[in-house]
Amino acid sequence: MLVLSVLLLDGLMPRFAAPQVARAGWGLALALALAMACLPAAAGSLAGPAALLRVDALSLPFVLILSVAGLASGARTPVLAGAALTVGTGNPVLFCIGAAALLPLLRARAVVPRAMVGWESVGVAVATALLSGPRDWRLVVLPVPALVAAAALMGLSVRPLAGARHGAPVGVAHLAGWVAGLCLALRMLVDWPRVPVAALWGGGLVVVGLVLALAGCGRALNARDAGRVAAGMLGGWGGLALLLVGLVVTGRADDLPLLALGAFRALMLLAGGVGMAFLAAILILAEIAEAAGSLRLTRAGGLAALMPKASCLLVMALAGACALPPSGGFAVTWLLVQSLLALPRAEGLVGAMPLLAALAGVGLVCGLLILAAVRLLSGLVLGRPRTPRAAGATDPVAGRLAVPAACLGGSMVMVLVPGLWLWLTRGAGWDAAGLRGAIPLGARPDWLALAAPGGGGAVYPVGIAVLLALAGGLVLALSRLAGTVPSRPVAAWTEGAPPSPPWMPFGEPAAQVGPAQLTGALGWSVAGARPARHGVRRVARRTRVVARRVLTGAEAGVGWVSRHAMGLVLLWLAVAALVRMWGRS
Amino acid sequence: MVSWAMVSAAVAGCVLLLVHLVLMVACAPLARGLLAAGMARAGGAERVPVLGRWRLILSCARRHGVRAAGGAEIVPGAALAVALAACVLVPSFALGLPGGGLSDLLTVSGLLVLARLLPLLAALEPGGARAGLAAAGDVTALAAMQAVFPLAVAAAVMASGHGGIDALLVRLRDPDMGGGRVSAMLLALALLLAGPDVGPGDDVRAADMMVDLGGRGRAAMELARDLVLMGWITLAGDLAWPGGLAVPQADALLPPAISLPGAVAAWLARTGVICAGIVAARVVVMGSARGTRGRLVLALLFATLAVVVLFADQEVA
Repeated sequence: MLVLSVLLLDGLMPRFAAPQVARAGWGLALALALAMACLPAAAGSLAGPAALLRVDALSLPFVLILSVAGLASGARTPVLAGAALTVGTGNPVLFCIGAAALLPLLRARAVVPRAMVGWESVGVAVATALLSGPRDWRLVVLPVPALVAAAALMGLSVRPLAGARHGAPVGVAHLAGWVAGLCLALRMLVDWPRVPVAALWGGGLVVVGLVLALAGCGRALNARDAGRVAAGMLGGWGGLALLLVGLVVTGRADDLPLLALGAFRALMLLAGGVGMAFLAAILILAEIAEAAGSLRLTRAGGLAALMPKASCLLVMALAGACALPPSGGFAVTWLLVQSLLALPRAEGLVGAMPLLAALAGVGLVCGLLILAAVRLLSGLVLGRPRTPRAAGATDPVAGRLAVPAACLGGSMVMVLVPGLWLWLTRGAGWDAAGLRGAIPLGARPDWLALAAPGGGGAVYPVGIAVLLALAGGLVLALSRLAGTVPSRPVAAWTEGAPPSPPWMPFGEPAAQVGPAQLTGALGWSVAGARPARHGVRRVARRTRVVARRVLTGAEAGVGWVSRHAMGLVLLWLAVAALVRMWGRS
Repeated sequence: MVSWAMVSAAVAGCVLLLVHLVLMVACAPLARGLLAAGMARAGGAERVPVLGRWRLILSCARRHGVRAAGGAEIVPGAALAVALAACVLVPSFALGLPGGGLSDLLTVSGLLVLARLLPLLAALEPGGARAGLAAAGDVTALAAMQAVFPLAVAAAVMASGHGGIDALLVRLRDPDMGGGRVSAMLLALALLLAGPDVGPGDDVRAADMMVDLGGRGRAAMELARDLVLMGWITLAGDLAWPGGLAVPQADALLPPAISLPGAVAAWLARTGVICAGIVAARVVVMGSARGTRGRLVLALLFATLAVVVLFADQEVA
């Protein structure tokens, strides 16, 4: 905590230390956090001021991720250090102060919309106040302010088109807020309540998380530049993370520790594997922006040939953020689907229908994430360059790509050998699942396999990777045996159109595929948003009209009753007497 | 302690796996050729030879490779490798082969989707309008169809308690799986609607996407496309009729050799029946106007029905 405090001072006062010292500080924080994660869980709890400075098991994964982000980015901003200090504390009051202080810093980088700053501050304060008392009734309303605060910190919004206008391109601050919001949701809904939050709220979190994930994907599909597409994708994963928190809450409430543990492991893989892939993508996008200028999807393009190394790394980073095997996103989705199937549900078909809807929603989110990634790649990496600046881009020196490559490697290791990351975060998992004392054998992480919480099988990410490598080796060997020579590049077929005139050096724009084609085919996306909005407005207008008529009728009724009060009383007496007489007879 | 029997079983399993892979590769272009021939015959068009796909692939493989400037050399090979990996995980005639522990329904569908996605990225790479538009339409359809696969996993887990393909098929062979079998058949229909590119206009779009590709790259891409279709058809056939598969006996690791020819024949019969069903559906039910949205709705409907049937069976019991 002391190291992180010094880093916060360095972020607030840039002349406090040299840049190398700041990076060394992040390295020291990472090493300390790794050492603490490797040590066995401490028995007993500290008291007094020492307890405030202690980083407990549930904080360690988030501190580790933020330390890696600080070390990799070398960013000397107070956002990262503030977020690391916030997630590092296990005290609700200090956490509340840290989260509230983090907001202006996130707002300054346009991660959080202006309107949400006030709501988030109120939310985190109310949630902390609700946590302070021993009464159980407070937990009934606790999830609402906690959810508002977490969603605001993560930069989530229910408006699918908000990111195109107000959101900022993705940066390390987005990742810091995302991690802090995730930690806040886990702390306030799972760790700090003295009795588990009701399972009904777990279902509510699943629904809200799904809606926020779909909205995040909508923002990614409607964004105009690569940075905002990536920010929308991060928002989509944030929604799925809240969904997983809902599953942990349900597991705790229904006393299903394996369900809570499975969902928490998916959450850790999401924060670790997918988070590291996003960190790599953020760093690579920064390098590409420096070399190729604007990241607008209609201006850049063709970087696969101009910046092959950076493009290859960006493709791999985005593949890690999509739910396709053997990526981290796939491992998270697999665990998420299996955790949803392990949920307790009502008997009969009616009980299964909400589950099926949630599963279809998760699948749709995964598909939209793939579509957003392809849209980003088709605008930025594939196709032809569209501006002279983009046409002049070249790969940066190899050393500058080493850091994102290392992040990508870390993400791959976390996913292919999930036991390593899950072992480092084992204490947090057991705390979240409510396992105390002797840990059952099934709760210990396997090195290579991810087991389904409901016993529906296991997935081996490294096995899939080895299988793909063997198949690739077979294809390569057959190609070598057949003596295949490299294919000859030729000019692409342009349907017989004449060559572009000299004033169009990058080709005819109308004859090229653009980012709009990838969203235009989705009926409910860009084209469907306006009718949907009109439909919602129409429903709201009709509701308002009906409510006004009901109020008018109620007023008229009250007036009539007050005018004929005496007669009504006499009528009531007569009816009561008649009923009584009829009852006796 | 590794015994000699285990080593010999592993070697025999690898040989069987190789035979499975060779059969899949050999039959994949035949299956698409059968579909093309059936649709041409039923639609009254000019006759198309069943071996036409194999001839196309072989003739492409003999030529010097050509690709659009800016296109990546590696993509056709990568697509073929992913399709091969997916086909390894789909049991064709025998269960219990090496790698069966990896064959999860979500994993196989993810690999098959990845094998379809890689050629689309290759089509977007040169930046041409026609290929790009075709690829954009296909990517959007693929993204929308992702909603079906978690439902398929749900139906499988609810029917058999397991999402692994081998365990699911072994459970479906039990005599007491009345409703589960109907559910698996509906599941097979849902997967056939959501997975392969056998809809109206898909062949034209594929030709548009590969217009700038020739030689061995084109051959690899066409073979990968056929393998993806074969993977979906085999998976659907396994779910619809698991009784034709050869399974290991009580203590054995591999199925008995005597049951293998019959299992291969059953697999070929399943494939043929499914191809005929696809032809009938294309010609009779799905006109050229039916697009992705209709297929998505039908696939979601069948996947939901696969779960509904399970509960109906419980309530009757």
